[in-house]
Formats: sequence, C-alpha cells, structure tokens
Amino acid sequence: MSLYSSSRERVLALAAIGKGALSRFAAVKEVATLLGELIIATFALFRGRARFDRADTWAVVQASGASALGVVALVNLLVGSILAFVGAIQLQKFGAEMFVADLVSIATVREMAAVITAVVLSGRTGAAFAARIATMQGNEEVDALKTMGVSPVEYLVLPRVLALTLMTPLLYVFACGVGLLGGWVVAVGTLDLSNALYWDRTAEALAGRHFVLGALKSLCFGALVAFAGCFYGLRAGRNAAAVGEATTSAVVSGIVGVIIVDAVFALCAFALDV
Amino acid sequence: MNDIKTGSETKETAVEIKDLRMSYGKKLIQENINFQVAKGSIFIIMGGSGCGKSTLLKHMIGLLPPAAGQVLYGETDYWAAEVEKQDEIRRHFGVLFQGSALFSTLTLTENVTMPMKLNGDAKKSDAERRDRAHELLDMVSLSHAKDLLPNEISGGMKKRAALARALALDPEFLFLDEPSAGLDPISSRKLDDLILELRDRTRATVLVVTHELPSLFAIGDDGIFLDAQSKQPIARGAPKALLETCEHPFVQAFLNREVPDGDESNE
Repeated sequence: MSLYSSSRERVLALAAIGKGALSRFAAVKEVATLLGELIIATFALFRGRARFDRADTWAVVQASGASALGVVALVNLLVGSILAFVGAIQLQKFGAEMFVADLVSIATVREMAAVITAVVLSGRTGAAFAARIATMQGNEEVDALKTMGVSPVEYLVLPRVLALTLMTPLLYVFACGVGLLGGWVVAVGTLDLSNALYWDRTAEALAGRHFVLGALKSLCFGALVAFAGCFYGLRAGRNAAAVGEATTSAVVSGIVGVIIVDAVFALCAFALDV
Repeated sequence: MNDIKTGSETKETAVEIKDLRMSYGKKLIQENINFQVAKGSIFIIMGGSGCGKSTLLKHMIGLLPPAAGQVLYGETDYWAAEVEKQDEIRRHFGVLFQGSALFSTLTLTENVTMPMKLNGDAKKSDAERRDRAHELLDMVSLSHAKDLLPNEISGGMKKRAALARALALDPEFLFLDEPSAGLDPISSRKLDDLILELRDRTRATVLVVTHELPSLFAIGDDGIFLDAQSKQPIARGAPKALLETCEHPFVQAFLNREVPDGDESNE
C-alpha cells in the first residue's frame, strides 16, 4: 500500500511539474505574440496607419511623466542621501570622506537612478496600466474595440509602451539630479565637505558613458514596465479578483524584470569595460 | 447561399452557421449547430444559463474562433477569410454587449462618435460626427444625457446608449447580447419596442441572445434553442411557434417557465 502511494505521489509530482512547464510555455508564447503584435503596431504607427486616441495618449504621457515627478524626486533624494550616509561611514575609516561624492555620483548615475525610478514606475504606472486594461477587459470594452475593427494592441498597448519608454529616460535624468542633490545634503551637512569639493569630485568621477549606460537602461526599463502592465491587463480574467491579480502580477514581473535586465547590463558593461 | 422560406415569402439569407462546434479546450460546449438567418429578421438564440448562447455570439462577431464549422456572411466563411476580409465584414456589425461595454472615460456622445472616428468615416468632420451621434442618441431618447459619463446614468440608459453606438456605422447586422438583462420590466419593454422600431427603420438583421421570455416572444421572428445537457440545438423556429408546436419537454418547460420533470438542480 505504501509502495503504491509513494509511486503515485511521484507520478503526481511529475504531472504537476509537467503542467507547470506547459503553463510557463503558454505564457512565453503569449508574451511573444503580444510582442509581435506590438512591433506590427509600431510599424503601422510609423506609416500613419495606427488607430489610437491622441487625447488618451497625451493623458498617458502626462500620467507617466509629469505626474510621477513628485514620487520619483522623493525616492531618489532619499536614495542619494542613504548612499552618502553608508559611504561616509565606511570611507571615514580610511580618511577618504572626500570620495563620498565619487561613490554617490557613480552609483546614482550608473545604477540607482535608473533602477529606483523603474521600480517606482512599476508600482505606480505599470500597476495603473494593468488595472485600467484589466477593468476594460472585465467591462467588455476590449471586446467592443475588437468588434469596431480596432486592435487593442494599437489602441491601448502601443500608446502606453511608447509613452513610458519615452518618459522614463527623462525621469532618469531628473532622478540623477535629485539623487546627487540628496548625496550633497548629507556630504556637506555631516562630513564638513565644501560645496566646491563635492561638485568638483562629482564632475571628475562622472563620464558621458555613465549617463549613456543609465539612459539606455532606463529606456529598456520603461518599455519593460509598460509591457508587463499591458500584458497582464490584457490577460486578465473577467471576475472580481482579476483586476487585483493583474495588478499584482504586473508589479512583481515589472520589478523582477528590471532587476534581471539590470544584471544583464552589468555583465555587458563589465565585459565591455564601460 | 440558399434563400429561406418563411411561410408564403422567401427571404434572402443574411448569415448561415454550418456544422459549428464550440468548445473551451477539451470541454465541449455545443455541436451540430446549423441555421440560417433571414435578412431583416430578428433571430433569437435561446437556452438556459451556461448553454453557450454568448459563446455562439462571440463566434459570429469574430471574437472567438469556433472549434470547427463555418460562419458564413454571404459566400464568405468569416473564420477562413483573410484578415482584411474579416475587417471588411466586421465593419457591417453593430454589437450591444451584455454589460453595455461603454468606454467609461468618454461621454455618451464620444462613445457613439468613436466607431465613426475609428472606422473610415474620415471624410466626416468632427462636427458632422457629433451631429450624427446626437441624432442616434435622440433616436434612443437620450438627448438629455449626451454629455454624461456612463457611470452617471442608469443601467437601462447604458443599454440604450450602447445601442446607439452599435448603430453608429449603419450596420447590416445588429448583435444584441442579453439586451434586457438587469432591466426592470418597463425598461425592458421599452427596449424591445426600440429594437423593433430600429429593425423596421434600418432594415438590419438582428441577432439577439436572451432568455427573457417576454422579450423573446415580443421581438423574435425566428430562433434556435440550445440545450446544455445534450450539448446541441434541440429546437428551431419562432419563439411563439415553439411554444405552440415544440414537443421537447425542456423547451416547453423553459417557454412556460416551469421546472422540468426530474430536474433536481438548484439552478
């Protein structure tokens, strides 16, 4: 009896693994399909054939850009300050406090401004995209678009992905400025560094390649966060829990995706000695 | 495509369903669905809850491909046609969804204007489109609510607004999914009258999914009855005629609002 039950458990475990693998494969297929449709829609946009609401697109641009300035500023200011605090404690041990500016500037411009901004956008804008599209899915608005002969990818996904992809690098530049400012407040306030020394060290430490790397990352992060939001929104079911599930999945996938892409960038930058 | 004989007159077929099989994955919903809908008629898709009425409608309006079979508009099988042809066929559709499906961020006027804006009415100016939208909203007695958002109006008004939007492109085919669901008897009756009036005015072919008895008797010229148990159609004809002539016990129980013999389910 016990032999039978243990072999049965093994079969069930294998079946669960198989089912899991199949559902992952189906999800990958869905991602590839949406990506393909998005590329086609982008070409249609360049040929002037994409059908979407310009007013809605402008509202999305505002919501993903200007409206996010406050939260992006607050978070990046604090992250810049934290970097300065952490760096100061360690560098003081070696009498190298003046290099706090190097640490804050390089860490902010290469990594933190892009990653932290993307994480904030994932929780804010990516979640909003998922919730809005999932609600439309539940209300049959997406079906209504289809019966009007309009592709939901053109009408809903394309404007959102484009808006966030274009806005994220701008927010990144803003986040860099605010992050450096946060570091400056701590460095000047607690380490008795002069203003001139802090900004001189910052200018010396930073190079154009750091900004290019950070901006490139933020471009990819913006696209990724918007894509995750739209993907889970379109994939949502039609029950009451669907909007919440879509939003949670979009945020989690967005953040995990951002970290993975950041790791790939770090590997590439290391290999290319950037 | 064959013409349909109804009584003494012969009518042209507007849409034909051939050997349709509906399933969700491996779960069979319905099979052996065959019917023709006469041009200008009101055709009712009837049946109990969960028998696949709305799914059949989705196959017909191009939202969901069937497991097998054909949906013929003229000589063209919708699901075997090229995407461009499908788009062309779909331009002749007007659809009223069960939950109205009005765009929640747009006013009623903008909702009705939207299909015109998105579907080749580029020659019309914004003012012309707006005028047409107001005309349609007036037709469904909503001229007083034209600048309101969907969440500012009642369920019955939403249905009428969605009907106005469905008529925006002067459709040849009007698909109505549970038009009177959730409406009080008076609003439901008014909507039925409106559907009859619109059919007479526009000469559109109307396909209605409903299990509301007063509605299906009031407006149905013809229909099909889907059965969830046998997973196939069990009756075909006008609802009133089915009530008088159909001998199938479930159809009789359904149309007479009775519990069929041997049914112990709580549904």
